[in-house]
Amino acid sequence: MNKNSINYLFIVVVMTIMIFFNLNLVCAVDTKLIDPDIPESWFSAPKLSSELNLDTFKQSPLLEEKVKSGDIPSVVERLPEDPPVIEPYAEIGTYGGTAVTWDTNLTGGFEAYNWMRVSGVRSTPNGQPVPFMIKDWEYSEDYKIFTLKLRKGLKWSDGESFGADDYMYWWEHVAQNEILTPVSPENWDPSIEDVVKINDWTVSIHYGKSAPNQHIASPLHGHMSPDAGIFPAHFMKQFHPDFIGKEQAEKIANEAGFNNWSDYYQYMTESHNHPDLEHNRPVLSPFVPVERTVSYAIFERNPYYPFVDTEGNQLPYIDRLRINYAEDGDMGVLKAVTGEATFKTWDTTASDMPLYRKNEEVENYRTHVYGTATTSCIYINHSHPDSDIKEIFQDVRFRRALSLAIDREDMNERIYYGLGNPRQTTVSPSNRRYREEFARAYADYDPDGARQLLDEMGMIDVDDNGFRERPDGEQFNPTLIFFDNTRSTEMELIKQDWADVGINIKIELVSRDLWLQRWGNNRDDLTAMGANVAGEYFNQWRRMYWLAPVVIPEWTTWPGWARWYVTRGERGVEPPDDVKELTKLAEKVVFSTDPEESYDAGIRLLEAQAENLWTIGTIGNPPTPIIVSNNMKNVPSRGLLGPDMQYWVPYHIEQFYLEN
Amino acid sequence: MIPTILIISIISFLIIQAPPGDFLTSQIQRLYDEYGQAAERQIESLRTRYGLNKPVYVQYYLWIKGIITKGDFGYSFAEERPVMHIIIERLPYTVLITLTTLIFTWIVAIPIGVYSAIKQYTVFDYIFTFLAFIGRSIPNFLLALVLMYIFYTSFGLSLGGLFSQEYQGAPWDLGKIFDLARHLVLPIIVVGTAGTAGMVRVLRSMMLDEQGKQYVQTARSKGIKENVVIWKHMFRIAVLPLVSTIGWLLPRLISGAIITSLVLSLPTTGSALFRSLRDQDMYVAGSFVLLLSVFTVIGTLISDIALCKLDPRIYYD
Repeated sequence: MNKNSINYLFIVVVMTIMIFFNLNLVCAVDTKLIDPDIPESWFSAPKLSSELNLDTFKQSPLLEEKVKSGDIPSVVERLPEDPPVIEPYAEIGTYGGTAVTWDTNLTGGFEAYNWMRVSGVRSTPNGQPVPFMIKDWEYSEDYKIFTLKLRKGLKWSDGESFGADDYMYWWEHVAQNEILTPVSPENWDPSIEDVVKINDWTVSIHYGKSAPNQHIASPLHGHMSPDAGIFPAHFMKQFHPDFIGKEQAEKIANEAGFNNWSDYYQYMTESHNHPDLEHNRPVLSPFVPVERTVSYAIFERNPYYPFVDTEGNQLPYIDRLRINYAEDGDMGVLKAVTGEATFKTWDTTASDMPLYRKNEEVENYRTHVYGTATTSCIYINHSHPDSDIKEIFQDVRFRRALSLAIDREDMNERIYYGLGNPRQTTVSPSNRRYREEFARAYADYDPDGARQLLDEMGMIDVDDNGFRERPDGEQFNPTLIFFDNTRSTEMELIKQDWADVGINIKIELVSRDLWLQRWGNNRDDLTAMGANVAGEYFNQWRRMYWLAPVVIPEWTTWPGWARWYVTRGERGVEPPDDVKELTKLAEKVVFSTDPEESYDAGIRLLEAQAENLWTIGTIGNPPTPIIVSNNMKNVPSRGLLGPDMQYWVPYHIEQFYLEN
Repeated sequence: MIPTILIISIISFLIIQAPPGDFLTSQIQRLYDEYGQAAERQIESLRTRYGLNKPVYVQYYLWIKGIITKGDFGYSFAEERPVMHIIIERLPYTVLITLTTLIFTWIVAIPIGVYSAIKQYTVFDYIFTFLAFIGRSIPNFLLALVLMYIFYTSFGLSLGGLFSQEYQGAPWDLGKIFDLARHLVLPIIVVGTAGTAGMVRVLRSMMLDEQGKQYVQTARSKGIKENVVIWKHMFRIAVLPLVSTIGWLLPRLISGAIITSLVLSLPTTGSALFRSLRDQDMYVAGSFVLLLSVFTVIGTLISDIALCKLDPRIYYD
């Protein structure tokens, strides 16, 4: 063979290898978002000790001391009557140790939230609700009476019982109090008509409207709900005029530096954010704040935490938690990367992954890559005030063209090292309503298809400057404003991709406040946001925001329409009829008492999204690195994190342990 | 002096209020996550509680009244405690860092500046001129990052902050003081370098000016020792510009250290100010701006007095 043909052969061989490699990389998109080693039991209600024949319980040596000296009662007396059991992720842990982390907000920040967060109901890693502090719940036939069964013998961190009386206190003295609750529960949505105590451990809430998905969402949010109202009654009484008299209440408020008693009362209810160590508000969390200075806060185990492991050891395993103050988010991550933190979850960025990996061996930690339960997307303002632009934006061909023009695979490689899931805006794969066709709708890279659609629309480049004009001939230069500076690269790539098909956009990074004003008041063209839905029972009303214009106008792609719905037509822009259909479907999803009807309505909303591309999705489940020191065990290696899944709660942080 | 401070406080308060929205709008995401459906209600009740629904001039009036009559600087919404607590926590460390940096700057700059002039055009002069310009042109935060990196990779030292973890809550003892001193090295180098550079150049040029003056020749011909000529006579004139800017050095060191404090995680007023401006925590921001302006005005007064004392040619009528 002559030299030329050897060259050709060589090139062909190399290219075949490269193509083969790339194909592999492209096809090997990781859709397994949840660690397969997570115990099955985490996906259903926790078993009770009686079901597992556990009758002896053990405790941390730290608490043994206190029992001996008589400070606290024995472990059996502290646990509820039938303690719920948590199966450890990998193995039974050992007691002891201090977990260390860094945050810009010592007690009210996200790192503290991870460790302290408890609620009535817990999200599973799949986004389903299972009992947490509450034992069980039951619905009446018309789904209007929601009966909560509480755990008998469950106690607050100071030893007092938590039970129906706490709910009754809330209903009688807080909900009916005009000063503490200016909008009375009858005017809530859904409204609460009554709260009835059945016995010490059972209480039923009478709603005015049947909304099973909404009702279950309530106990999710801390403070046991309904709607952030349940607090330790025995403790809060000392600040309430109904029990100490108005004069006394005003007096202690003034002494503490507050203008009136209700301000002081509210301050004490929120003291989980800023522990008032003088009063020590009782909590149900696994840890209790015990010390706080300007540079650190220390939390110690709660002797009354109700959960035990499969061998009867009271949880949590870790004795203490120390959160150090970092002036800046990056500093906190820096401390973790130099080996000075046990567990760092916030402020990490996917683009710094190489740095995190590089130091792993030296500083003895590992990096887990979790996914965020969201799809990054671009919003196009459907309710744009300018009618010409609105006509273009409302043309589905325009949105489809923009979607086809984006090279998502490339973006995924460049920004997330291939760890994200390029897809159209839709729910996460772990959601029951996920369908492959929703994720693939107009998500392929097809710039020619995009050009064709734009040509069809009549958007031609008349003056030959490389950018298309509007159908009426005017210049077309929409602005994309956004506030999340971690998405700058993504915006640049999108701008380039769209420029390739002839659409010229201007990118503007603004502060969040300014963004809120501009976008929320329906004054802008495009923005960048995220669509969060992972679990389906958590389809609360406010999670509908990206499927139908029904809530929180500022966070949606149709601020004008959403505001019209929210203000019942007083303000905003009236949507067209087919969009009003969406709002009806959204109502069905949340308020329907027929699970099938709710499920189907949800599917139809997702279909509408895939057809009409209300928002254009780019990357789904963007990765978020977690830094875990190697001596901390029982940490799942992968999962989804999101606000509607309560971030770390599904991963059972109380069974993490430190090995020495 | 008082009217100046008052006007500054009004202007700064207004500017802080100028961006749309208020503290609560910057917290909306967190409030929705925490309170879910109840978020809107919570926001309204918080707004009333914090007085954010009152007009701006009422808020200002109440704030100033609080400061003058009770020493109450207002309430920090972000940290949920009185601003006074934040000031008391951070001011001592800010003053410490600023003063030590100031002393460092003067100790380093004065000999270098003077000898640069005396030994003009020698190797000494060139080297230090070069270093001065480099120090002046490198941004503080970049220097901080580079030095942090070097300290970490070469010496394995813990980065940032003023104390190592063991000493943070501990009572004051020799070990803690030593730990503090060790952590102060980096901030002093970073913040001091830029200031040093400027001083060196000014001093050098002033000394060069003086060198050509009549009285210097006279002194030398009288047989006075060279050291005395330099330090007792020339230096006294050359240092005048430095003294007159002492007043501005104080606020510059405090606010110029904002970025450095963030990068090095130092608990100073600078980083508190930055955060309060970003979060629209208006009482914190207003109070710190007020304090900075008070320091500036007082500092200028001090330098005026010092100038008076040093230079008999200046007098006030």
